[in-house]
Amino acid sequence: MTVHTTLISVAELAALAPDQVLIVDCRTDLADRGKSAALYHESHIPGAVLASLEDDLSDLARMAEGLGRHPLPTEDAFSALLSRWGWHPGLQVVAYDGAGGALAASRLWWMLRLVGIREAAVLNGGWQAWIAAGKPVDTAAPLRLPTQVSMRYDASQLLLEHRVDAPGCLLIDARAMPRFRGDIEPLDPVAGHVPGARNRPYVENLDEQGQFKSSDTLRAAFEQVLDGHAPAEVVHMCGSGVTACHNLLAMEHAGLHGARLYAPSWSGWISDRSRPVARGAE
Amino acid sequence: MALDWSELQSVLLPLSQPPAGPGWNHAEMADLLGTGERRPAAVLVGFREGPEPRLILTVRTDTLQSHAGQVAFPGGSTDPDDADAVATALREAQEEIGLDPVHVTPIGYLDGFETISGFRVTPVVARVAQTAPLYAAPDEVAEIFEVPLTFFLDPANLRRYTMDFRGHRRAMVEFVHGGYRIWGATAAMLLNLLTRLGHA
Repeated sequence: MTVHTTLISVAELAALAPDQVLIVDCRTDLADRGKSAALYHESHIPGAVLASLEDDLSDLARMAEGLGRHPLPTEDAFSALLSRWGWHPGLQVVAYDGAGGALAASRLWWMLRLVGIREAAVLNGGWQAWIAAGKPVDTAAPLRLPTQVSMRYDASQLLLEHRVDAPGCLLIDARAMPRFRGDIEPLDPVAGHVPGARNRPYVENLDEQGQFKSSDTLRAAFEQVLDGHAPAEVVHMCGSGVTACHNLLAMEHAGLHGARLYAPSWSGWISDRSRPVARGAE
Repeated sequence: MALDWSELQSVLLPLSQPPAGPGWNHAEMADLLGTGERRPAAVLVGFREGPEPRLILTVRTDTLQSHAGQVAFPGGSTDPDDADAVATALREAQEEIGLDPVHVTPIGYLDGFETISGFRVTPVVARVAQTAPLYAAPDEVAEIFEVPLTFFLDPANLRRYTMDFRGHRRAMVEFVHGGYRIWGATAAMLLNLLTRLGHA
């Protein structure tokens, strides 16, 4: 069986037998915390379990620690989540959402990598592509036999401290240009970006149909952003460590390995108002 | 951590010198079990790498015939096909907690230990990759949990007590961490490690 480690197409997912895959519905709406569950219960890909960005893929109780708007859950909590889903070694995991993978399927994909799970992919085109292809949907939550797993985060893929201006680091910010420039800021109390960061809005990873661009196209685009830096020097960020995972996935899809995530991101950076803020395009 | 890997390795029996002969607690076990042949077994004393190394422990399933519901290291009795104690420990760890041997780096041994159930256990100490996914085999392991090494290094966490067993007064040790009671053979093997480290 082919193992999918970055993206999987609708046709490939539809061809997998139910016991060969763990499908996770990661649809979310940053402005409406209850939306994940509502969408899931309305209808989802048959067999999918629900992952709420706020309740499962984050631990909002840790926000006061300066870890940003979506602090990572504890390792024990994430282990418990995977146990509840019945994850076991070798199982193909597929995450999908309704935002081309940005909210928040890529976040789950990256969190799985963070605990050493490589057999995980994001559904290319997401929910919309599944529906457009006329594939079935379901309203019932699946019964999955729980497992018991113990996972730890790989510190080498993660930056929790705010030392993103270290020499050699290339910080790439996935937010839309107007937020990066500081023209507007709909979510966080301060507008702007971390000095020295480059802007690569994640939407540029997608084509008009909401599918990831080809790996060659993405590779060329990221090499331009990297401007001679090695992929492993790259530290990705966004508003709260969610859409930045879309850039991580795009780079991985493009064969550019070893980038890290500054998980607290902009919301964590500005939690200490003494940190410098840059505005404008550079 | 208050201890680095080389320091840990330096207090162990080297991999070239597996513990031979009776276990360090043989005299006590001889009183209880006699001096008959002990069955060979090995366990994995695995420390997950990371900013804070953690010891990997299991809770055996309640339905298991031996050691049901107890906290234990992954491990079991030696198979005829096992080349050595390391092979036994790695095989058992793969079976019980889904630990792929590629994630494991053995660094040495603790002293041999004899159990009340008639085994002579070789504890294999190893480093485990930080991101090794661990998956409890449903038939054998109810839970996997991890305890920071620093917890064991704090003398306040070592509890000593005595218990009467078949008319013998035995000195026992235990650790209690996050609702888990680590006692019996597992605690005794940890005491052996702490003694070797000069922490007990």
